Amino acid sequence: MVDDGVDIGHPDGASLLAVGPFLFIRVGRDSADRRALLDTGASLSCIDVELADALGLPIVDRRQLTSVTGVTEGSPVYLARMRIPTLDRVVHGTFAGVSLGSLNLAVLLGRDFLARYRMVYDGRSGSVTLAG
Amino acid sequence: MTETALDEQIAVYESIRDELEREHLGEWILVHGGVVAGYFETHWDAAEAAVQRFGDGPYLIREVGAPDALQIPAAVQFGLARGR
Repeated sequence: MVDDGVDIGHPDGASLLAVGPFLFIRVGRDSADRRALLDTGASLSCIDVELADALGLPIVDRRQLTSVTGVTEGSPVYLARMRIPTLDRVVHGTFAGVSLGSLNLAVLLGRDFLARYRMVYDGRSGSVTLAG
Repeated sequence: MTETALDEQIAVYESIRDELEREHLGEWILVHGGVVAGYFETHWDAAEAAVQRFGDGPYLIREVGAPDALQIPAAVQFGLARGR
């Protein structure tokens, strides 16, 4: 990846507003391109629990997860190899297992992911540049 | 990883939790085979090391001193995100 970064944005601001910034990724040995939302409002990264189980990703911790509806005990935290073709990167990380299927997302990349990158978000033009 | 194998690594963490929180607060710990295999600045670093050294495990990766409960992102809780 060059220092100026890669544009992962949208053709216009309205599209970026509606969908948000995302990357296509490949998880584990899966060859399918799947969507990963970049979420500056999330402190941790998450993966769809059904996808993680289907791919047989290893569970490396079990934690309580809290939400407005209460606490879920013993939720799995997975280790995943994630290939990001746009950035020409392969990374391993831990991801809390949550249900993302209804959002049509495989992964939600939080600030723990963004801590390694510089992201420039231009809401007017729809451009989002990611550099690392 | 089997439940038992992961539980064993978690038990190791809990047995030395006080010491870890005094000496390695904020670091990410890797526990494998019942012993601490390393400390790392980020979970990305810990995960890279875990895969390189131990493959698919079993092992525990956890932030030392992290809250007992992790907060589910609002986008997940309220369905704010709509990948298309």
